[in-house]
Amino acid sequence: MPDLEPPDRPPEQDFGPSDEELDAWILARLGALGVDLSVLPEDDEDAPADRRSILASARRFLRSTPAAIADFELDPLGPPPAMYPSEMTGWTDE
Amino acid sequence: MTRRMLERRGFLERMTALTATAVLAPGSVLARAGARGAPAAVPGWDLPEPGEIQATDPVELTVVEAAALIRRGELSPVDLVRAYLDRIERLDATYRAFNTVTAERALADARRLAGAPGRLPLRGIPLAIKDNFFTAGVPTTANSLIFRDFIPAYDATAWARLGAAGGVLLGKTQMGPLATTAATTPEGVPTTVNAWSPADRRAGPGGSSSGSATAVAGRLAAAATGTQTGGSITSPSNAQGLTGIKPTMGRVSLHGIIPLTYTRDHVGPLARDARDAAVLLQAMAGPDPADPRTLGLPPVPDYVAAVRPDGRAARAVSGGRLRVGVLPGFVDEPEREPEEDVEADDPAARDRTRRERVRGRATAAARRQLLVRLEELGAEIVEIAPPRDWEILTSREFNNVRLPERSEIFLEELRTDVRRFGVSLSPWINGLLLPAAEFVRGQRARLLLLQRVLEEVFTRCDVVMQTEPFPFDMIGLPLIAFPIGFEETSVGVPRPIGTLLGAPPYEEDRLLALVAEYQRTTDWHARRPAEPGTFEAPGGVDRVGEPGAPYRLDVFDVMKLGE
Repeated sequence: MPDLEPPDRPPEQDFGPSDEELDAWILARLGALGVDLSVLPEDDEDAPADRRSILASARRFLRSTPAAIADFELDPLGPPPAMYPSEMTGWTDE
Repeated sequence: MTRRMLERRGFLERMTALTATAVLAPGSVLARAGARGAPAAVPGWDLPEPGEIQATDPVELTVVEAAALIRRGELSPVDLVRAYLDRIERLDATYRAFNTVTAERALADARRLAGAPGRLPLRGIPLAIKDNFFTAGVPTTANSLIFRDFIPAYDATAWARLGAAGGVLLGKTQMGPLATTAATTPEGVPTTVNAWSPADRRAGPGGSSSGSATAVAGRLAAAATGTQTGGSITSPSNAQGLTGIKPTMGRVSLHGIIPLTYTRDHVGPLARDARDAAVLLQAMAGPDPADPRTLGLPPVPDYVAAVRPDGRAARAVSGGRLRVGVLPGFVDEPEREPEEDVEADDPAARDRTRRERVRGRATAAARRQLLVRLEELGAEIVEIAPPRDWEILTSREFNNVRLPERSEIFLEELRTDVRRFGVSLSPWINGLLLPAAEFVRGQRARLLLLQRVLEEVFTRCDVVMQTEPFPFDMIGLPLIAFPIGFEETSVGVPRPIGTLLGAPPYEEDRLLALVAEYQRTTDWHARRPAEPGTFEAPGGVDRVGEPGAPYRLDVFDVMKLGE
């Protein structure tokens, strides 16, 4: 049998969680919130969304976004969080 | 030292000492919160005089022109509204710009306004309102199954102010679902078309303010409103040859608008030119006690004065006191892909690649001409380097930090039935998955990005050309979209080319002034699409599209496309 690459798994992240591990984490997280994906069809190209594509998108998201943000180091004494950064420029008026 | 420089320097000094964050929490998304905005005051400003009016068809008049004719008694609001309603009845089956048309109400309002006393700057002007704005008694769906049967009890502040200024509601425009992507059905099938090429699905209308853009470009409304979280005013404006402005965060109230991302939603107009955009923004802008994001900000400037040809803002442009920043690559043509990199067996991919390359060359040429014209007008073109870490801080991953906000807003709906999100579901699910530490770091990164833009860009220029809306959307800075040329496509239909210009906080007037000056010496904004049905695709084919199955968005497209 050929040794196939698992789907949606970048080769350079062989150390990362497998698709199955990520799916378990995703479903556990959603389940804890009461969000139920089981109402979606399992695998249906004609459906607006199916479990297969939603989980694939979620795995792709988890393999890219958290690590990219975590990799960008910020000085703890640097900028604080600002949900409205541009508005803060208007607070300079005495 | 100017007031603008004082604001900027003071802000940077405060940031070195600031340790607390401020999180503003607007009210509930649904009408059950019951909060109403501040009553809209009748504005006391006048529109600029339009100069010579050449249009003879009422639907070809700009807002400024129509308002002037109505003011002089040469045009009746009823006739104007009726002209638009007739056109909607004839053509909206093709354009699909509207979700709801309020014909009876529009005519009734036009009759009332025709005889109303007082100065109303927008008396009788027919407007199209994006369908995420609350409109009392009129269905407001946000093109979502979630709001399918929702009829709000009060008006969004922004719409209420336009109405108080004399604006007439023609109807609610089609949009991307919950203000994401472009206008589609819940299954992801595109609906609203680009007014320039209604028979060619490959040229989308832009989104999510798709219907607003199509209505204005297709002469189904004099102007329209939109919202922008990730390009949703400026992208459809550029796609359809319009002038759209996304102001600074907090400049226009978001009260009564179905939210997508509290910290990145912005309200603005889509119009035929900078003068019209200035007029609509003037009507909508200002503090609203019902939206704390609008409070404590610098006063709203005189946008109408900014677009006057003899005004101080115009003289700043022609007097060489305006520096226009240009980032590297702005005028570069796309690199030609080696033939072997394009899938030989996929005709659709080859066709798409070829069309993108053609459009890229046309866009580069239009940008070069734009810079030449701006210099002729007196502006100084300044090449500037992007700020440090620009690429990573404006990357897709950092842009994704916005997602948890939408998931929080719609958490009850996600817990009820995820199928109600249709094809748009994936960003809402992914927003539930971003850990808190990364979310907080993302908010810190936004402030860092703003600091660097102010320190490293706006110390060297006054406004800066942009190629994507996301960076300035992330940090709440104003952006204006305006047309700079056309691409002559392979099917013989001209396709608008637009660009983006950004400014420091609260300097929308500077953007409007520059674009108004540019539009006084060019006519890209004055061109209008051919009437539907006058275009024939090569070979007599009725519709032009990708070969194979009808195009439909999937969950991966939704994650890639903006709001």
